[in-house]
Amino acid sequence: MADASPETGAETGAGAAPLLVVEDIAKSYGGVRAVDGVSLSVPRGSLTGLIGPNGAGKSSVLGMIAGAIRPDRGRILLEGEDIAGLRPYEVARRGVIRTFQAASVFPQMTALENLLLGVPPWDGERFVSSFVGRRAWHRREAAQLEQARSILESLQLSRHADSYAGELSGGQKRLVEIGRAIMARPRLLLLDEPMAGVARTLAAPIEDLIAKLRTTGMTVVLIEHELGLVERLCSPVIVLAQGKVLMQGAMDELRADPDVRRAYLVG
Amino acid sequence: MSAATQLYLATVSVYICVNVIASWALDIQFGVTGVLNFSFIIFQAAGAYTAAILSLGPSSSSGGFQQYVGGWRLPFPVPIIGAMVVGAVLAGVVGLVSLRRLRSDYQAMVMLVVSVIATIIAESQTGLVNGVAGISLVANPMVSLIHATRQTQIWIFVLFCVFCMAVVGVVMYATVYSPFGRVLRAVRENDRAIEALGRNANRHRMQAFVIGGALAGLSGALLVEFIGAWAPNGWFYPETFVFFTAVIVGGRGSLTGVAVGAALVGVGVQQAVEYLPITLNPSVIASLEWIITGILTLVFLWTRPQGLLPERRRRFPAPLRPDAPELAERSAATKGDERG
Repeated sequence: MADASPETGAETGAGAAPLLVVEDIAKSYGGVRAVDGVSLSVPRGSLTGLIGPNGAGKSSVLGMIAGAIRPDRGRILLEGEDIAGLRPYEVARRGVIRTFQAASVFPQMTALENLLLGVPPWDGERFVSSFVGRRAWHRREAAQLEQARSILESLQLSRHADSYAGELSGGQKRLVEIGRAIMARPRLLLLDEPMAGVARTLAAPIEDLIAKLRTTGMTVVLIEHELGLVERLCSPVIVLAQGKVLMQGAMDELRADPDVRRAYLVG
Repeated sequence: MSAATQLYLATVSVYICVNVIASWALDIQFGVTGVLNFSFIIFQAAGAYTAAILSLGPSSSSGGFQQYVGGWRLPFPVPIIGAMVVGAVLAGVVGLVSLRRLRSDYQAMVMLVVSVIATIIAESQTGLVNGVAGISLVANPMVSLIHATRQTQIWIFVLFCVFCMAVVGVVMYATVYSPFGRVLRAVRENDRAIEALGRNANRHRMQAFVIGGALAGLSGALLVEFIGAWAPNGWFYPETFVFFTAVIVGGRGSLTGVAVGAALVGVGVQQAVEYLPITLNPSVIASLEWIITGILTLVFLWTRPQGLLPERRRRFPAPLRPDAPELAERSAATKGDERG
C-alpha cells in the first residue's frame, strides 16, 4: 500500500497523550437529546471503535468532531486546540478527515480525480494558478497522480482509474472514498460505517485496508455495526447508548459488562 | 455582396460571439460549479449599461432626451473593462446575499427575485438608466478610432468580438482544466464531501460567480456597442433561460458544447423563426422562439441531459513503466548516446 503515514509524525502508543479529547459535548434536536454529555478520548495511533445501537448518537458525535454539526455545549480538543463549532472545511484543514455513512464520492468525476481531491488544499487550486506558474503545479500534480495511482493499485481499482465514480459499485465507491481520505494523510480519520451497503466480496479488502491503516500509525475512529469487525480491528472500543458513553474498553470486557449487554449486545 | 447582406452577416456573427461568451459565463457558474443563477441576465445588463454610460458622455450632451447616472466619454477599451468590473462587483454583491447559508434551490429563488427587482428598479427610476425607454445612441468607442467606411468599421468590430470570444475561450479552458476547475466541479458534484476535504465550497462558488459576472458584463458591453441601445425589455428575467437552454442543449461543463448550444439556441432558433412563412399570425411567430426554447430544454432534460457534446472525461497520461516499450527504447537510445 502507498505511504499513508500521517503528516505529523507524532509518536504513537498507549502512553502518548491522546490526539483527540471530547469533553461533555451535547446536541439536541427539538426536544430530543441526541448526544447528552459525551466525553471520550482517542489515543494517538489507535484504531478506536465507536459502537452502540441505532439512535445512540454515534453519527452525531462523529458529525460534531468533523464540524458538520455544531454542539450545543462542550469542547472538542485536537492536540489541545478546541475545534468545536468550526466549519467542516476548517476542521479538515486541521487534519481531521471523515467518510460518510452513504459513500460520498464525486459521481461525474473519475476515480483518479476523486483521489486527487483528497490532497489538502494547495497553491495549484487558486484561480490565478490557472494562468500563472502552470509548470510548477503540473510537477506537483504529477507527484499527486503517482500517489493516487499507487493507492488505487493497492485498492485493486487501477482498471477503474478513468471510470466515473458514479459508475462504480457501492463497495468500490467506498474504497474510492477511503482512498481519497488516505490521500489527505490525515492526523485523524473518521470512518462512518464503512461496511454499510458493501457487497461481501468487497468487505474483506476494505477490512484489510483499515487494518493496514493501523500499521501506518494513523489515528482512526471507526463507527461500525458489524461487531466482529470491531473486535478484530479496534482497541479501545467505546459504547454509546441513548446519547451517553456507557463504557470504554476492550471488546472482551464490554461483552462481559451487564449494562452493555442489556443496551446493545444482548443476543 | 450587398451592404444589407453584409450587415446581416455581421450582426449574426456579433450575436454568436456575444451569446457564446455569455453562455460560457453561465457555464462556469451553473455548468461547472452548479450554481443555479436565475439572475444571470442582470449581469449582462449591468455590463451593457456601464459600457453605454462610459461611452455616451453626460446625459446633457445629447440634448437631455435621455437621463442616466454619471456619463463619461472614455476611450476604448475603458468602457468594456468597466463593464467587466461592474459585472464582477455586482456578482460579488448578489453572491453575498444569495450564496451564503442558503441551499441551492433557495439560492435560485433569491436570484430570480433579484432579477425581477433589478428590472423594476431600472424601469421605475427613470434617472438611473432612462427607465423603460432605455439608453440609445451609444457610440462605439472602438470603431470611432478607425477612419474607414462604415462597412469596414463593422467588420473590424466583428473581428474584435471574435478576438474577445477566443480570449475568453482560452481563459475558460485554462480555468476549467486546472486544479481550480477540478475543485469547482467537485463543489457541483458534492459540496458536503468537498468541505470535508478542506475546501470552502461557498468561497469557490463565489469565485465562479464573480468570474461569470465579469464575462457576462463583457458580453453586454460588446452587444450594446454594436447595436447602440439597451432597454429593460431586452433583459427581462426570462432571457436568462435562453442561456440556460444553450448550456443544457450544448452540454453543461463542456466548453465546445456550450459554444454550439449558444449558437444554436441563442441565434439559430431566433433566425429560424424569422424565416417562417408570414401566413402565420405575427404574434404566434413572436412567441414561437420562446416556445421552441422551452421545448428544447424539456426534451434535452428528459432525453439527453448531458447535452449534444457532453462534458469531457478527464484522463491523465498513463505513467511510464520500466517495462514499457517506449521507456525501453528511450533507455536504449540513452545508452547508445552514452557509448557514442
